[in-house]
Order: sequence, then structure tokens, then C-alpha cells
Amino acid sequence: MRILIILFSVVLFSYAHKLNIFITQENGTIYINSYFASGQACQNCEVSIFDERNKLLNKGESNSDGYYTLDVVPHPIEVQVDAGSGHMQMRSFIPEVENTTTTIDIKKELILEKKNNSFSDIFKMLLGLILIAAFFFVLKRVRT
Amino acid sequence: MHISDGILSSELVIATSAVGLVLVAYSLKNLKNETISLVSAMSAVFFIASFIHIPLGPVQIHLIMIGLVGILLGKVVFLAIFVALLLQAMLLGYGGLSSLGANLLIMALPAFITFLFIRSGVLNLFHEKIKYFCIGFFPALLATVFMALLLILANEEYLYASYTIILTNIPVMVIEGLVTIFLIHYLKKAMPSLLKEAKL
Repeated sequence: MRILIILFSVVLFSYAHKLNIFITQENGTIYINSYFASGQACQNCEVSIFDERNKLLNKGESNSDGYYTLDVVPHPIEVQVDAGSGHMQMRSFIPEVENTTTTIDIKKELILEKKNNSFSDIFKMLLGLILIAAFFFVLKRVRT
Repeated sequence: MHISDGILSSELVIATSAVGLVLVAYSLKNLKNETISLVSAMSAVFFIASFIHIPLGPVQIHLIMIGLVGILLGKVVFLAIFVALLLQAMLLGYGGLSSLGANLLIMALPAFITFLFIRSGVLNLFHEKIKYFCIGFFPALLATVFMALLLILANEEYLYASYTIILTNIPVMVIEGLVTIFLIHYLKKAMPSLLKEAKL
């Protein structure tokens, strides 16, 4: 039991520096905000933008507030933020592009992604229930 | 009604994590072997409740069921909700790991307070159905207020967001109360021994 608690504490401390990415779009500009779980901005972190085929479109560094901006592109993008020392995160983003033929393709991808996500949610729910049962089963064994 | 990572200040994270740890240890100390199955089931109920979405106009709300979990588990409610919150954060991305302590206080503390309130017999003056409605309504109200308070403590800019959270969760509180009435009625018929500790 003590070993479990120690291991769990190690995992918890490692999550203290988890990198988060928040992407928004406003007036033709995409804003990429990267910050650590403690709330501290990811300053001068390497930001790479890829298209759907993993081709590098743009590369730069976040500013002192953790922000990186780029102009809206008419296709989905993959954003990768590298804070160094093994801290890296990736996020997908589908920009809103009005009155272009790509809007229909983007909406189709969004519907497909929602369908895929609903299947993975059910799987995660079942996995969560199994883990809850397993945790309390182990707890009962340890106590007896 | 979960707070994500990066919202709360470091001081709040440390303080709520420390208090949460003490409460989980308190639950572990009071855990009896015979009740482990019930604790496991209630943890699963809380975990699944977040999947029950009810469309409400432009938004979707989800149940939390902390009232029922609280009156059935009593002192060990902190352990049950802690396990469910941890898995929700890791598997589903609801809430966060650094804000686990804060989310535990938001969810489990109202459940425990409701248990103490019901056991004291204060609500026995009212009709049965009103009492059962309060078991669902009040913990949801307390959870919303605690969440609003934590957000305001984290950053004063969240003040108006806190008011909005309280207003938008009023339908959740009412629905929780109504669902709890049916659930407790069913438990009284099917498994009345479960409600013995809560003196219902």
C-alpha cells in the first residue's frame, strides 16, 4: 500500500508541469496559448504548425505570455508546442473558413471526428468502471 | 462542475490538495470491509452520472448524484468521489490532476454535509418528498457555491463567471432533486437497509 502511495505521488508531481494548449480563432487570426498546469505561461517555447499530411507549414516561438499567432488557413492543422526537457503537446484545430469549398470538407471531418469520439467515450467509460472495480478489489484484499 | 488544470493559483492547489488528502485519509480510516462493495458501486455511479446528458436549450447539463452518494456512504464519501474524479481526469479529461483536491472539495464536501444534515433530523419536519428533493438539491447548490468561491479566490476576474455558473446550474439542482426523489423511493422499496445509516 505504501509503495502504491509513493508511486502515485511521483505521478502526481510529474503532472504538476503538464503542458496545456488552448487554441482560439478571432478575425482571421489563430491564437495558440500554451501554459503549464501551474498556470505559468510557456515562454519562448517552440511552436510548429503542420497540415493534415504532416508537412511543416510554420515554425516559431511563443511570446512572454505564452501566445503564438498565425493567419487563418483553409484546412485543419496540427499544433505542436515543445517546451523542452521532454515537455511537448500536440493539438488539432479546424479553423472556421467562410464561403469556401473547403468548409464542406471541414464540416464532414468534424462530424466524423464526433462519431469517433463517441465510440472512444464509451470505451473510456467502460475502462473507468473496470478500474474502479479493480481498485476497490485490491483495497479489500490488502485490508483482509 | 469540474475545475480544469491551470485555472487555480499554486497556493489554492496546494491548500485544497492538502485538505483533500486529509479527507481521503479520514475516509480510509473509517472504511469497513463490509462497505467496500457499496463504496465501489457509488464511485461508479458518480463516474457514470457525468455521462447522463440532459439537453437544456442550447446547452447540455449532466447529473452529479452527490446527494445520493453522500447519504449512502457517509464518512467514506471522500474516498469514493476521489477515485471517480481521478479516473475522470485521467481518462475523460474532466477536471484535472492538479485541481483534484479542489474538485474533491467541491463534490465530496457537500455530499458529506448533506449526510450530516439528514442524520441530524432537521428535515424530518417536512413532507417525505420535500426531504428527498432537498437531498438532491442542496448538495448541488453547495457544490456550485463552493466552485464559485474557489474561482473567485483564484482570480477576481472570475467573479462574473462565478455568477453565471450559479445561474446556469439552477436547472441542474432542480433536476438532481427530482431524480433523487425517484431513486430514494426505489431504494426504500428494494434495499431499505442501505438507507439505515442516513436514518431515512
